[in-house]
Amino acid sequence: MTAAFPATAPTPPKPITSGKDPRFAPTLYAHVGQPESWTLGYYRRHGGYEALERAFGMGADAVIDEVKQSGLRGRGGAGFATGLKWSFMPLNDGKPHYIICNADESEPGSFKDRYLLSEDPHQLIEGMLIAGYAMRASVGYIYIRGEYVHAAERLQVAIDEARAAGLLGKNVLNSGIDFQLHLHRGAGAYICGEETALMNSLEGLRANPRLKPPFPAAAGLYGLPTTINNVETFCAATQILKFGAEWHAGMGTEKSKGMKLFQVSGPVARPGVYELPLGTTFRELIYDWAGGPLEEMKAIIPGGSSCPLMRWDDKTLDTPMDYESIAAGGSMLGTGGVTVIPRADCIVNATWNMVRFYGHESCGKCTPCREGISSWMTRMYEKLVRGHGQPGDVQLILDMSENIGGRSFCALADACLGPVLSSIELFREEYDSLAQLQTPTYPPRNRWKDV
Amino acid sequence: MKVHVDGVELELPAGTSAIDAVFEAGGDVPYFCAHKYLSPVGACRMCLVETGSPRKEKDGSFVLDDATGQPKIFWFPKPMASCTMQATEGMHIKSARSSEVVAKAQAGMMEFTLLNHPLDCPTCDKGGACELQDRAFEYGYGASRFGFDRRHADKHYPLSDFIILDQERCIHCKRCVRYFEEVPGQEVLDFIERGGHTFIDTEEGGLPTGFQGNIADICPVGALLDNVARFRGRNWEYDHTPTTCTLCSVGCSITVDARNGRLERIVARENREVNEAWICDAGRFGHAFASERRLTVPLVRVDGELQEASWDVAIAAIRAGMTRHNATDLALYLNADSTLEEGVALEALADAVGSPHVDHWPRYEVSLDAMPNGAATLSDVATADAVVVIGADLGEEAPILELRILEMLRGGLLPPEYAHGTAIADLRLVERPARKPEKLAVIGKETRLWQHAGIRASSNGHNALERLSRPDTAELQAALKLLTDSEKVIIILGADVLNGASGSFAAQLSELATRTGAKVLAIPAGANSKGLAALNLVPREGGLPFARVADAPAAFISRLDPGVRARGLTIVHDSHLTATARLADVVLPAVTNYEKRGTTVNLEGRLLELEQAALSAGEAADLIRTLTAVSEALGVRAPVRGLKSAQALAEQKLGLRLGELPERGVIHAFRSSHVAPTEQTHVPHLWTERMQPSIQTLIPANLQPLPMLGAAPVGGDD
Repeated sequence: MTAAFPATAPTPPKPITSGKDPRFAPTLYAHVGQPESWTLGYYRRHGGYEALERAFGMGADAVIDEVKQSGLRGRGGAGFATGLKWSFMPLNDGKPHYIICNADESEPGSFKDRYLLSEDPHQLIEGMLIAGYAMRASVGYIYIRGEYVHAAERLQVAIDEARAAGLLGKNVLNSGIDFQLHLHRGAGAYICGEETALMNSLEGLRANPRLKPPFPAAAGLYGLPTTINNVETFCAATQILKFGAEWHAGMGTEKSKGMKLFQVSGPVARPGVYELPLGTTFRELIYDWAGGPLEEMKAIIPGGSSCPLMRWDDKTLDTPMDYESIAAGGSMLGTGGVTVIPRADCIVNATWNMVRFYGHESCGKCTPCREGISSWMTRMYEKLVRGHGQPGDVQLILDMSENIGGRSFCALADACLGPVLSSIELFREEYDSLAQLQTPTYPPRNRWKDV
Repeated sequence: MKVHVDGVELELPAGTSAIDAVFEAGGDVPYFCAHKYLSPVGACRMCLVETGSPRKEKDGSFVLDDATGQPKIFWFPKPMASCTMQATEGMHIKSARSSEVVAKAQAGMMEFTLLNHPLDCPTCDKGGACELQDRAFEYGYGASRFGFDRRHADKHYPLSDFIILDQERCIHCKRCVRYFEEVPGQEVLDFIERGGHTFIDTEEGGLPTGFQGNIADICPVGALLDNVARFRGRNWEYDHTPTTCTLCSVGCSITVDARNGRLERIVARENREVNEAWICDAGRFGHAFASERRLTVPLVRVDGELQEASWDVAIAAIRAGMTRHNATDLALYLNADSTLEEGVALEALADAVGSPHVDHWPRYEVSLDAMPNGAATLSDVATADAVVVIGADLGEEAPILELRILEMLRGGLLPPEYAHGTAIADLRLVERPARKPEKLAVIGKETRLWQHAGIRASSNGHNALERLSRPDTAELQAALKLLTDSEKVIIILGADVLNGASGSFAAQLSELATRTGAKVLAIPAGANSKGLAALNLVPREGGLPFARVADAPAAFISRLDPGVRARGLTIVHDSHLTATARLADVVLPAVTNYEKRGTTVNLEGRLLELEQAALSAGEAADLIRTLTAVSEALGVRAPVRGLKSAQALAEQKLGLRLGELPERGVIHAFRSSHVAPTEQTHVPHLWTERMQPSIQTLIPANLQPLPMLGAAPVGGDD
């Protein structure tokens, strides 16, 4: 991708809801893949840290207003309005505030932050500086997934570079603002993506989610007001401050504004990360950008493994990818990690793969997740897939799910139920075949040989 | 605040949790992770209820239901954990009693909880007293649909010498982890691994001594067990006797569990005012002596050898021995953990025979009963703004006082009380509470409390108070500043300053207390020193203190072990053949404090009742009964012949009511008027050798264990 930065902020009369719209150009991923894109020199040559200076010129409250006006919503999965979240911070209480970047990208099917972190780290640093300035936070933490070794190294170099250049530390760019940024590598736990578990982990404690309320904005890291955002959200904030709220609000649909990084995985011609405006259809993403499916498909996971499956049909493919439209279709936009599941793959086996993941990642704090997901659900799936199914097993899984759903401490158990319940609903006949005949509708295959 | 529980409207104070609202309405909610004195965490998910609240319009009025005209209730879409939810004005709560959804949610949760639980109840010490067992019976499906192998883990994993962990039985409620973090402030236990592999373990092996036994009490299943009592009996076989611990002057409420006449286990009993729900390890595990190597019959010295004898023979031996002495020469000494009733009986006998040699031990010379600002209670300590501890080693003198000080450091939040008892979930308590060490000053030797104190000053002996009044170091200045500047402040005094303290010490303390507005809490030397001192059980004019027992012409020594005999007739009344007993002429078997009825006075001046546990101790008798026998030998009519007459006399002397006290005890302002020198230093030491599960030191080489006879009635009525 070699798209240049737009010279001026465009003011579109009609919202951009397609990547093919000539007015659209990638910004978040504009420099991914460029030589030396992770260096401060490159970043500065391409307009880096201008947004920060613009933010300093506006004043902190105006920055929050700008983000509010842009319509930016959290890109980590929940889609909460970012500007509103920032304004929840008790801004002038005199206490130290923290901001945290959640770079613990561990959801199966999501891999957008990885390249932001390793290829364009200064974009994130600038975004955190802006957010820290807006929320009167003088310390920021980046909690990066432990497996992202390369990204962590690049990011650390970038932080050191920025600090040497006076962009971090005391008196950033002679503005009188202090901002320290620390990088913390996780130790490989999905639960650390949950904001309060992440804070526990950062404090050196066991990564168990905390009781809410108090919410992080009231008592977060070390008991002090804290705001936690996804990598992409901070990067989007950089672009908003660079091109203006109107530019951002000119993309997407009425309630889902701006651009989003969509990831495509599964047997498509060009799996990968695509930056597109919100409201782009699945069809455009999969056929026009990812090159189309390589075989017959039956399901789409729209936003990472915790989102309920959607049937592969014209209705789904023509669904615009924004928070509301996907919710209306019975699923969630989530992280935008689109996974396509081929017709010839056993859906029970595929779901087992996800259930196993959640069972393995359950923190063990609450009963329904520890016993229900980790101990029981995984074994129910193993039993089915391995050909030991019995009539009534599917009904048992459904009843168990009812006892788990909404009863657990945090959302991890509910996340596991997303694929479980939707796959049973959509592909009940495949479950019944395993439960009653002990034979899969689609036998296992060696993907690397068969495809 | 009005709350509706299962359709019943009730009035509750603000801040009440939903679980307490249900209990207050007479309902029931199962729970495992919540505990009265620990922070609510919402981990076990058993206490699910349906809740709904009215919503307000922007103008402040309630959103009304079109059909009824009443405020419309907006129900949460899913059941909520009631232990972490605060009840709010107008909230509606549905427990399993009125909601099918809740009943199913709880039954399903119970199925999950039991998923990996081994169900080895027939061999589990907790069986019959197990929260999981009870709740599974009340709320479970009755059968599990889990058709796989359960988790297998270590079933006999010793966390320490006293606590053994069965990892299979653990249901991960995290009470033990939170207990250590929140109550004694020790971060030792945590979950290891995650998901279905999660287990409890220590980081470095072993548990800190002091208060570790409490985790066996609070474990809702049989995962953490008291190793001393392990496999000694089933819960329904034990005789449970609620009584008071008399190891130190705190007077914790305990339950003594005996089986077949043996004391097998001690567990904590709740007393909000005193020990909350905790007891120390010495009080819990140090009971071996009560059932091992007991003296069950009197011993009389014949031809230089102690020989078993009947009480009649022993009385005759005393009568014969006393022919060489005047009755006024008989010194009468008793242990300071004896009850008020026993003290009265001893004093009455001393009066009857006219002996000036009366004493209790251990005690201090100085009387600090008449301090300004009144006496401090343990709840005062927990809710104080600042505490200054001078010359005390609380671990040896009053361990639970240490916990109450730590409670003060983490905010001093005493849980609210309802008709159903102490709040099950006090929402003000938080996990890993922040402590304020600057509220605590410790002056004296380096003890366990040092690590929690913001102000620490080394000092030795009783001049600490003098140095505090005229501070010569920065630390002492800071301590004095803390005393002066804080609103509600308590001075706690221990053995280091009280040993050898005199009237001038009391005057100095009184002056300091007046100047700073502080309340004073002096830790008595013995469990009931405060009560016995109020009875003026100290040497009279010309009397010998206990320290000079060797100079006494003749002596009756009750449950004290000076290691020497009197010049003439020596009568020892003890539960074991101690070094002193081996020197005695007549040894009378005594009951321990677990086997008597009576009243003790703790460090606050609180009257607490002792009950008689069903232990077999042969012909052993308590002091009242023994003194009746001694009176008979002396040829005087015993003024006190039983518990009731002792209580009547004590009531007359002290001006208070004894017997039928409320469970939490009653505070009484005691005043001791007589002061007498002790001529001896008291070294507080909680854990004695005979409390070790095997008391080799008390077994004479040639003495076979005596056969246990039927328990003798103790302290019988007139």
